[in-house]
Amino acid sequence: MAPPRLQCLNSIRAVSRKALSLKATFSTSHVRAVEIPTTNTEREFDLSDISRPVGRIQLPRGKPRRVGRMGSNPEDTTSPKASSARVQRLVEQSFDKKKKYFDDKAAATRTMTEIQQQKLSANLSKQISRRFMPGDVYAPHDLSAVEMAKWKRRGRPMYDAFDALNLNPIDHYRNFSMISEYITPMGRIRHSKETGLRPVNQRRIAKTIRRTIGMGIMPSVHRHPEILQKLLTKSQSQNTGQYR
Amino acid sequence: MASRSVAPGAALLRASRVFAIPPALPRPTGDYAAASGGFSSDTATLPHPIHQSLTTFQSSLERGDWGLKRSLPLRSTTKTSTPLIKVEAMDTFEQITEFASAADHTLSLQKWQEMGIPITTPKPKRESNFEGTGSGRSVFEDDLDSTTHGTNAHVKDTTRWKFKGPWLAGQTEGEFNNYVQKEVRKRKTEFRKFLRRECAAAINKETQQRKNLKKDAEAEATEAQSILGPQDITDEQLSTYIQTLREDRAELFKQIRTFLDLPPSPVRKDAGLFNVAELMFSSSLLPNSGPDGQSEAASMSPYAESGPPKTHPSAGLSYGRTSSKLFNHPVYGPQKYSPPVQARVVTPSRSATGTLGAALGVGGFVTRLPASEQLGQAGYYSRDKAMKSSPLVGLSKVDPDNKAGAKLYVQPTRATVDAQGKVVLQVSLADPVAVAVKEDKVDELPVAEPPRRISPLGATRSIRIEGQNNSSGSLYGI
Repeated sequence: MAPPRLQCLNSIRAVSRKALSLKATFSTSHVRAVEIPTTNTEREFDLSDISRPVGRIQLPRGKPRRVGRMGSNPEDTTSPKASSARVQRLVEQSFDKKKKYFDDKAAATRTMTEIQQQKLSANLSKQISRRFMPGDVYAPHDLSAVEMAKWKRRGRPMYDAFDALNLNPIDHYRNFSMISEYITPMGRIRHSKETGLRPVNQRRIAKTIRRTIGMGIMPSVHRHPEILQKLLTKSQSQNTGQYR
Repeated sequence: MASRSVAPGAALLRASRVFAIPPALPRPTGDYAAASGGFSSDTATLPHPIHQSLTTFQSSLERGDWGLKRSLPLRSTTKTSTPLIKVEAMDTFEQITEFASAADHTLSLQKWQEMGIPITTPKPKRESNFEGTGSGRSVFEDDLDSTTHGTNAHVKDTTRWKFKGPWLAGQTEGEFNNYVQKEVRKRKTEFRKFLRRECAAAINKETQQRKNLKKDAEAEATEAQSILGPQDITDEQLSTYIQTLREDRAELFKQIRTFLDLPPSPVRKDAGLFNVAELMFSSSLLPNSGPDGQSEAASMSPYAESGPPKTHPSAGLSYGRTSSKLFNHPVYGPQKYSPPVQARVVTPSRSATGTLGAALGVGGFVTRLPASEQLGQAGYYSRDKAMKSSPLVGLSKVDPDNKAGAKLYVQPTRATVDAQGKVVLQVSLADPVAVAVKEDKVDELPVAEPPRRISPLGATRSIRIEGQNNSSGSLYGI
């Protein structure tokens, strides 16, 4: 059933439909009955409801004559043939209009559903936070949300990076790219809890950062602008998404 | 078995699981990327098991009796379809036995054994003309599966998989320094003794060669005194020998390797052909970069490039030597391919973490996709909208309509166990006929065309590309 506010419109529609048929009755043309496509108010519109008017309108038999284009010729207007052709044209035009309307609507809904599907699929794939590598073993538990939430968090380093690479941080005071990893985006020195360095190396990297800032190689309130620029372009390229 | 001399209580204890459970292996640390503050989970399934998996009889399970020090709680051990546990601690300060489910690795092993893939030696990254005993051979071949110095010392030495020393090529600089300072430095006197022995052997060899050249009677007369032992070598002779070793780096490295029992290092196999200049530089300027010349180029070890494995190279997963066996279908008879395996797409290529490409899970083991040309041939990359129901959607992104997840039939081809103990499996796309046989949909296969007659006008008409004929079932006994 249509909602109550629209129910009253149905009676108007019935009257107008009747008026249309009255018009047909009093028409000068020889058209006896024009099938008006009945629309079901209970159902939504749908492409199957509209069908091209296949049943040709009955025409009086006679010698076919050329129909005037504009119909301004009174002789033409009065002739039954021309008027029926005009009706035919009008009906076809209205059909085409209607069909175009519904085609557009369907296309819009299709693209809408497609967009929604894509969004849903993108959101779902964001839930896969684990980077599965060849050789990993997984059980059903590893595909669960609990495990995936754990893979989102960054853990503490298990090795002292400077020890592993046999580097002395103080020697690399000019390498702001490396030093930027040991400060926060606001320029504060990271805690050894986050850096995973042993106490000696943590003191060395802190000293290096202070020296670098003191020399004016790096700003004290944020990371080096080049690093910030790099991060920005990286995040932008990720957002626009150059996927295979 | 418990001996008779001990008390009955002690005998019972010794025969029990409390004593039979081996100590846990060290937890796999993973690669450096993961260990240096990467993303990880402490409860994720490990790449290889570290605890023994235990099970018990149904009657004992209902009583909570696992043969351990105390009974395990019924609620957590009986309400599962896979009653398998691993004991993390037999006893703790709180007087409880720490245990967890061991179904993950146990079922993975079961699935692996159902697939029946033999383990092979690792494939070298770049195939070259001088391919050694390396790729695609079973790890159980006699000349590869050795742990000890055998009679044919050279071959055995380069192809065995177990060594006492570390794999230097896999160490970071810090680790290498640590090794040199902590382990190697202590053995200086021992190394001098070893060199003294080697010096004696070298001198003896030289005398032998000289004698062979001369072949006269007076050399034979002095034979008794010419064979020297390590105690006969003077300090003078030893220092001369050490000086010659310093000149001859190849010989020196060989001595060091033998002394420390180091695994072979990766060698550029094409160096002799293409990179003569590089080889010259590496031999003269960079003594640490690798051994120069022939002695190392001859290393036939399949583990030179990827490092020696932690365990036996088969890791106990499979004891088969070959995959050349015929699958005999009860209805359709012998088949060209063994039954294909359904793989799960664990990471679609367009997901946030799938930047390295999609990942498949085959029987619980993660692998990369089959070769892209195979997928292209099978139409996985076509942009046809009608392909929406095919696995293409699930391969590139998560398909919300597919509730069970995207799956794909693959044919496991080969597997290796790498230096970290990970199982690296390689798969190819399954044959459509094999899939049809597996799914019992042989009647849906396209019917093979009857062979055309040879036209008298030209034989070319009857020639057909073999690829077109792939879908016909006639080859497979259908």
